[in-house]
Amino acid sequence: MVEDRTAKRTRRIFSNFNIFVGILTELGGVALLVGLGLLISWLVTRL
Amino acid sequence: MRFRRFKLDLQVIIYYTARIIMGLAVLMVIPLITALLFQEWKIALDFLTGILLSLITAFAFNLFTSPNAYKLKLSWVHGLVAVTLAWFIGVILAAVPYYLSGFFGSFLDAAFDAMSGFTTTGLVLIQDLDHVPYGINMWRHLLTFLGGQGMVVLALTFLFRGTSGAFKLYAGEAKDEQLLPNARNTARVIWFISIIYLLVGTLVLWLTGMIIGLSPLRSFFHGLWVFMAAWSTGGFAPQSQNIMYYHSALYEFIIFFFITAGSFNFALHYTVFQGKLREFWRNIEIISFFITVNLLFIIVAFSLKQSGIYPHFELFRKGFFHLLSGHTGTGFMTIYASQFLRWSDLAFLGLLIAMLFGGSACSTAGGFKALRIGIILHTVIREVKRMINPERAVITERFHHLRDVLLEERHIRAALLIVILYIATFTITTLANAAAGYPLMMSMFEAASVTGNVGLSIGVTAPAMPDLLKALYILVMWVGRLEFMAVFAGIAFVVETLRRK
Repeated sequence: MVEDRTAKRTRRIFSNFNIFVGILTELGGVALLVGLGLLISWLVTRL
Repeated sequence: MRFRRFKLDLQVIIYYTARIIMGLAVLMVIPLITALLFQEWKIALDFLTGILLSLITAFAFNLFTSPNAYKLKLSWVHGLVAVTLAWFIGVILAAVPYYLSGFFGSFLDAAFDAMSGFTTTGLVLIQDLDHVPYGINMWRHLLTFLGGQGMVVLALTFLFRGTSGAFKLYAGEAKDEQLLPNARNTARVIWFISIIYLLVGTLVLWLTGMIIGLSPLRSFFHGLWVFMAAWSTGGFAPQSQNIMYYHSALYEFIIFFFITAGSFNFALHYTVFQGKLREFWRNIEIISFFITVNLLFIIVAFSLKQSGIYPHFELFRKGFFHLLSGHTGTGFMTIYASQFLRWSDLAFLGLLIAMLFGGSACSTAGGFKALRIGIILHTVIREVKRMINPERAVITERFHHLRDVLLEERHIRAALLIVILYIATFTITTLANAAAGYPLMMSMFEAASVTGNVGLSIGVTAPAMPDLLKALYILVMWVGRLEFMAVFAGIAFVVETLRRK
């Protein structure tokens, strides 16, 4: 019973919208990291 | 009394090990179906043999246990020893179809690749990779995908019922964060997150593959396999040239996203997927990872610029790609192994440190882990504060990992212990490489790659390397992935057993 309740809660927590926004946030974070890498390499090649 | 206790210990350990092995047999059905679809009859037969052997082993184990063994209380030692044993036997059984396929020089080579897959290392001894059948390639990438999530996580999701203390099995696989009160549901959440990313990643790489000129079918399988290796920070690829095969900046750019997302903590994915987006930007692991990646890239970029081997955009494409590939513990390469020798010593060192640092805790990545690096940095800050403040002042330091945590001695002790063990393993492996006759820098590079479960290679890992070194690498990959404690518990259990006799 407890397990069923937890499983139900898991399904409720992961709404499609939250998953979509969550993936966008994570990939946005990676994009920032890659952007910083691009900026560093651009600055280094010009120094 | 003592013997009865020992017998019960063994029953519990064997029960769970048998279940995990049975899971492996079920998993071999996927490459078997792939081989049948592509009419690779000989390979299908190899997988049938593997399935049969795995089932026989599981049933043989079952003879020594009771069907009600799951009702017995699972202790920490049981969990750790069962995981260690399951990984060891799992690797041997997973290597059977490899060896029978004829693409490996010996069974040791096949076991090496199986361990490399399970531990998401990505170093390979397979021969003639460019002509490997679909069935074998599916097995290679499936092993690494499964290894990233964890063999026990898979077994907990599908094979165990009513396991009291299942967290002890789960934690034995170096995943120490429980996302939900129940370990079985935690395992399910981990698979749920991975499957969501698998769908997104395969679709994106499939489309990209077609854009760069691969046929739809080939592009689909390459997309699926490369995603599996990227997400699990494994580093396997279906072609011997690894990611260089695609000659595409777009393909490499997309891979950046999946190797980095794969190196994030599953607890962080879970929190972010709940809609708590701020956690992503506040988390100690993300901050620590961002700082170390950028600092190391400044060093690598300056050094590569001075040596003048990569002009302009190539500096980013080759330098940043390999730094991120090493730091996340993936091991994807877009240059030949021997080309690392053209890198200057400083760039080389920067990459080596990145490989040892690794990704996040409770992720698919290896190495020290960003959480531990963050804790050590906070410890340094706390000690500096202590020095500049009056002796009587109470100095506290906090870090944010899913919630605000007060830095305590137990955090520092646990972080330092694992880091010291990693450094000791790295030193021993470097010495072994040097003793086998490899130059020091090559020895250090390959040792960092094996210890951190990375997979970047400078050319030491090859079918012609000494067998003893292959065996050592298998052991190092194993202890590195399980973060030492599970293997130490296994060894202690064997020693204790021998002493009792």
